[in-house]
Amino acid sequence: MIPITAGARGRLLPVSLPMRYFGAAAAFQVLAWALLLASADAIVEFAGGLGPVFAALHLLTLGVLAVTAVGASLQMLPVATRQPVRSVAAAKWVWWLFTPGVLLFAAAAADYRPQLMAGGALAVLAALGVFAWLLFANLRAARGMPAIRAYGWAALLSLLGMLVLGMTVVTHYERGVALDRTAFALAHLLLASYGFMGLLALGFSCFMLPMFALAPPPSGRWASVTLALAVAALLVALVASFFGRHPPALALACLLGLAAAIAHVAMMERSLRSRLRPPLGAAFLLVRVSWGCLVASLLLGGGIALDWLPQRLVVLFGVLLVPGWLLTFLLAVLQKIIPFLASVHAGAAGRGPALVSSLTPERTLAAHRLLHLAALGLLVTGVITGLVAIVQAALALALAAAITFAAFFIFVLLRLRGTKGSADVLQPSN
Amino acid sequence: MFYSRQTSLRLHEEHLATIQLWGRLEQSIAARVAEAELDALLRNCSAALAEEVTRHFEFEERELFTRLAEAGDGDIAELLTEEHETIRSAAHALRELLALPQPDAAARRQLGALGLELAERLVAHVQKEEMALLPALEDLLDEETDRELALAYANS
Repeated sequence: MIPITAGARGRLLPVSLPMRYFGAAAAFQVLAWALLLASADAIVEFAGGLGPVFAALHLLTLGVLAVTAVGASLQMLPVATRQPVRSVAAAKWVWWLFTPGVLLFAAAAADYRPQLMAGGALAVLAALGVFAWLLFANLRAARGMPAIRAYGWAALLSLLGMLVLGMTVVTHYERGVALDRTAFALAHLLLASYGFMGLLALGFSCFMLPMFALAPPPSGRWASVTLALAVAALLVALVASFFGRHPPALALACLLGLAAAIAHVAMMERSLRSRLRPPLGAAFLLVRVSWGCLVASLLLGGGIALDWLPQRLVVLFGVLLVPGWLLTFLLAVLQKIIPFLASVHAGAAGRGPALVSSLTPERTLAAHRLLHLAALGLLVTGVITGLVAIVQAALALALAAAITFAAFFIFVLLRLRGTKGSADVLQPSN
Repeated sequence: MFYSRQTSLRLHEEHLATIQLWGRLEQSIAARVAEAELDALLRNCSAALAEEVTRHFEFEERELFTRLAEAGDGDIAELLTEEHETIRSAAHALRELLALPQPDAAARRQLGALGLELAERLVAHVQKEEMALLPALEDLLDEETDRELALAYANS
């Protein structure tokens, strides 16, 4: 019988722990797209600053991407590093601080109220600070998979830098502290997206994608080379951000990032080609689209930095980076990981572990993929053409995709609850 | 994955063989191959599984899961043991169905469904062992214990 309320002694967490993070991500995604749909006309011209677009962007980055990264790291990192989570209670506290913090931060930003926003930012800072400690404790004692550990360390450093820069920008909004807001915001964006989220995504890919595809993991040497290129790109971009956004330096950063992205994709494709079972699964379509968006974001970033492309395409850069690469990748991983984790915990009533296929609503997921990809394609078209009607249609599709994804998550929870007999593993223990 | 332990390597090789065999079964069922061909493949799978259930599973439970539990991963050991039990029970059902002298249409449908279920269960089980058990053995076994276990397994 599986000890479903296992504590920190083992590497298998209680199912309610990762699931609460994935549930929050599903809910925040619906909220983010709904807010964007309500302010569609502001997207095409968005150039930073508080308001609904800023709020929706942070609902996506903090509420969906970071929340998913925390939940997935808590369950998957111990498996990769052979170290249990240091404190399950702390992992629960991260969620209790993070979720209301993101809500307050986004609501205040949408309503142009920086004082309230600071309260949300502090809660998020505290939550991510505790998570950073958990990540640090795990990586410090980790064994095996040196390349993945190196990605973890680089992501942890990016997280700390992102938090410091983010709080500095919030202080600027709240107290009017003088600083080069554009430089700080750019550095914050780079550390949050390509740094924390991006490096975690690349690192976990080396472990999780081969696992899902039953393929050999990529070579540790190539994974290290890719990481070195990515970190070099990030460092050059950060220096360039603070020193006048020097165009050739930004372009060099994009070039290094492009080399890292291409090396990563080539390495992963090589690994997937050696898989033991021919069907890859439809989730890998989303993975491949996300890789395409990563490469496109770096090409576009370089073109904009060198003034080869118009500055207004900076919104397209954001679309390719956040919903294109990071969100699409995470949704692909969640389509695999949520039923997988549920199946691990679904057999406690003495009927044996549930089949992953019985916890995977294929039609719902197919509808989600179709809606998400159509939304992404239309959003790219709308932003390029500047036609608000196309942007609105894209956002409506994205909202429908997010609702469909939430339906998938609820289906899995209900099936999980249905397999549990009297034991209700979905009730958080605090 | 690079394994420095002989025991991990042997188990890994058997996992590969299992995935290939049951993958063929999945493909054959999907392609609706002729009854005789499917029967032959199912019998192959069942025979391989009988070997796996007695030798591979028992070795893991006796020698490895106990060590995994002692090292603090009792929850993973329990999960893998529970999966063994489920697979044993499904393997037994498959053998019984294959032993029927004249299976009717319902029994044939049941055979196909059970074959697919076993394929999915075995693949998921291999995934978990490759992800959590074999890497842990790299820490749990020293060279001497590894040699002894690998030898004992080869002679079992």
